[in-house]
Amino acid sequence: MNKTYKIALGNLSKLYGRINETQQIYLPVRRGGTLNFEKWHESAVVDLHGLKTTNTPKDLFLPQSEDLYTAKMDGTNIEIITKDFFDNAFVIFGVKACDIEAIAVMDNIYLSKHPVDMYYEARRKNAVLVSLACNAPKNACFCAAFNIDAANPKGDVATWILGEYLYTQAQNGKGKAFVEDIMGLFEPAEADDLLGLKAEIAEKAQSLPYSKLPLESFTGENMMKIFDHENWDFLHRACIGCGTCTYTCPTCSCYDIKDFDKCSGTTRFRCWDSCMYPEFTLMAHGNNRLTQKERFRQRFMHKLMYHPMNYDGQFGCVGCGRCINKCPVSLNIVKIIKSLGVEVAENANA
Amino acid sequence: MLDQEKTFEPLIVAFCCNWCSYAGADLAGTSRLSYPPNVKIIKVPCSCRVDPIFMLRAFGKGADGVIVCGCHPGDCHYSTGNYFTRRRFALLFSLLDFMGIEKERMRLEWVSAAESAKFARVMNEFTEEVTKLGPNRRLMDIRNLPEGYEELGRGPHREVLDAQAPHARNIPSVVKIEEQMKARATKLLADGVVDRVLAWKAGDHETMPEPAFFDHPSQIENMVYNKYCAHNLSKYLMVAPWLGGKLFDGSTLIFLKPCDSYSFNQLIKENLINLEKTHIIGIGCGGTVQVEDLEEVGMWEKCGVCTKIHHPVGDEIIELENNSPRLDKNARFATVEAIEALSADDRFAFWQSQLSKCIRCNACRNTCPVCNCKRCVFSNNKYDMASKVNATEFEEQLFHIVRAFHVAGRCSDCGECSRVCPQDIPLHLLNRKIIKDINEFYGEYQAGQDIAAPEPLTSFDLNNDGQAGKN
Ligand code: SF4
Ligand code: SF4
Ligand code: SF4
Ligand code: SF4
Repeated sequence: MNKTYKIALGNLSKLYGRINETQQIYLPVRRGGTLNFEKWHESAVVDLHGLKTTNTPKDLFLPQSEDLYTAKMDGTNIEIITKDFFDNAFVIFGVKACDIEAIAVMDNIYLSKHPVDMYYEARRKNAVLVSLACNAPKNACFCAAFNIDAANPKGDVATWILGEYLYTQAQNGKGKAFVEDIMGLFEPAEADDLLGLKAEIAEKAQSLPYSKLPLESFTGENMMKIFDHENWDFLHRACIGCGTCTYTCPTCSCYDIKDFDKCSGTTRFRCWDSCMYPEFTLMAHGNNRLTQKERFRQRFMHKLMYHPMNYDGQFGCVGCGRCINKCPVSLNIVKIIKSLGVEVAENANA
Repeated sequence: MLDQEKTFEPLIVAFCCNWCSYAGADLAGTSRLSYPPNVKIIKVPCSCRVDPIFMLRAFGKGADGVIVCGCHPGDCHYSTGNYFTRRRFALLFSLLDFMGIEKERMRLEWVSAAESAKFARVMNEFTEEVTKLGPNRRLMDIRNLPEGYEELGRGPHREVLDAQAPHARNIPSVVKIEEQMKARATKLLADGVVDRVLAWKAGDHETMPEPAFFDHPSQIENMVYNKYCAHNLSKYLMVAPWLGGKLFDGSTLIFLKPCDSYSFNQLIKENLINLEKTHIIGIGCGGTVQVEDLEEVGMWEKCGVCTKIHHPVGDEIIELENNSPRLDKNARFATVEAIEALSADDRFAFWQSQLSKCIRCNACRNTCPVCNCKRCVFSNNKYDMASKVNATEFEEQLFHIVRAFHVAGRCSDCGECSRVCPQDIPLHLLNRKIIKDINEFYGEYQAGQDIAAPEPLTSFDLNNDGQAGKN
């Protein structure tokens, strides 16, 4: 068991300042009315009590857009100006259990198979993940459906807010080294202090409306049954193809590589892309997903079928509930799971 | 620093009409009148050819000042082109000023073919002015989160946004309307008057109804209408590429809340709806609410300041029994006025702080009833933009400005853009600023109210536009 320490909430800005001396620290900041992970500075309005940030920690590993290199032409000469890989140590503080699990999903996609994504890797290996248990999970959270424990978030270091204190426990070697470095600001605490809080959180998470979902049918052998299911005809119908669900999803990982002519040279960059768009994986013959139905189906098939089939049953959804909150027309993955999960299971029994 | 200032040479782009100012520039040359070499001239057949996006793109690609030159009013080679130019740029300059972007960087000037001296003078003056302003940064940075953005917290932003906190209004029950709607839908479907119904269907949770089509009377029991039905249904009847699907040949019954009916009427005006195959029922509305984590968190801003009670279009109306009293119709401009009152630096800081949150999903565009282009400029691979998140220093920076401008005079203030923005960016304020300017410059206008009324940006007033057109 790793040792437990605590720090008074009132001293947190001292802690952020201390971490900030050696590395950048990102944490939930309220700005312009919205909660997002942002770089800490002295007058940032940090809000650890807010539940979900709109953007997700993935932004720090897979930025919205990232320049790869620039090519300059001078007569027949082409000069290639490359960009160095990202190389600054940084800390993400206050990541919830679902988002930590989402990083594990992203790691699988980007790092588990050869060749690894070097841009992602450069950022990922520089990061220390400090998680935070969710004292007040809300109705749209369904991490419990995926057996993610909001009371015991993973990461390199885990933290809990109990009363006037932030409790912390390193979870691995990287975390231990990190905690040792800032130890001066903490005082020793009892791990048992947290038992009550943990039980409370677990109970809350289990009692939320979406905490139990019919996920059993989403297995490889049902793939074609689910793919061909007639319900997609109406499930997708309201979708306006905005891509909001993909950009705010912590596990949506697709990107495109494009060139931009800046007049002073051509920059090649990569940027997020969304399967909800008609321009996604556009080829000379057009897009092979002709209508919104196919695009919509792709997103959910990927989360619920293809990803688990490729990665040992790990679902591509972590139940963060962002798509529930953000879809302009109230569509979301829960509606899909309920509709298809129940019907496929019933047909199998019949 | 001083040295830098001394050596700063601005890049000026001048769009010159072939029939007047371009010839004026020519004459200036042959008369040996000098104007700065910083000015790069782009010839256009008429000042009216200059789409505001040209100007913005010039800034995006490195210009520090942009000037549009056309014939004097009354002298247009095509009779009236420059009258449209005048209206268009009066609105654009005012919008950019509203966002804290130096309006001294852009100009509209009338220069005839004979006025070589004026051409040289204008270019000299303008170059001098832009040199004083220094390099154009604001338009390039409006979507970047600045390093050390502490100062942003200091500004009046909080107060400005608080000022738009929704006005409390009681939400009347619409249960009775829901029953009437279901009865009408069932009857019209059963009688074969319509082949399908566009309304809302119950979601898996009370707060989660979704827009839906109903093809059969037996499905109508799933229909709902309540305070969670904020979604504007207008656009679903348009054949737009992102809606996919097959062309539907039958006729449709659509239910429209008052605000939606203005949007829908605008689509009718733009010939995007086949009225012969549409049956419209206007329905009363007492306001809709914002939902977060399946819980109600207050009324939508757009509903708080809504004054639209009547339906400008509809084959039938199902009214609310007791409409709650509505606000003064100008109450919706309060926040716009609060921003106008800020200094240019604070206005810029406000918008930068908001727009830097944008993740370039396309929710605002895709939900907007008047963003109805078959292919949006921001989906065009040829312009390095394909609905993707290329939010570095490119012209994607100008997305919000371009979009606001494209819907100028067509936006009915339905508020959908702000409702759907995942980052809670108050986009409607840009559109409202334009609406307010149109009202002030060219007389009261409400998009979607009257399909016969001339649109403010495709009409002009010979006698009264001069004032507003002068920048
Ligand atoms: S699919 Fe939805 S709930 Fe699942 S991880 Fe993505 S945004 Fe969260
Ligand atoms: S957020 Fe909703 S409307 Fe937008 S693409 Fe996703 S499912 Fe479709
Ligand atoms: S942003 Fe402009 S081009 Fe794109 S859909 Fe809207 S109006 Fe059309
Ligand atoms: S909806 Fe909001 S986040 Fe999405 S593109 Fe529009 S302004 Fe940006």
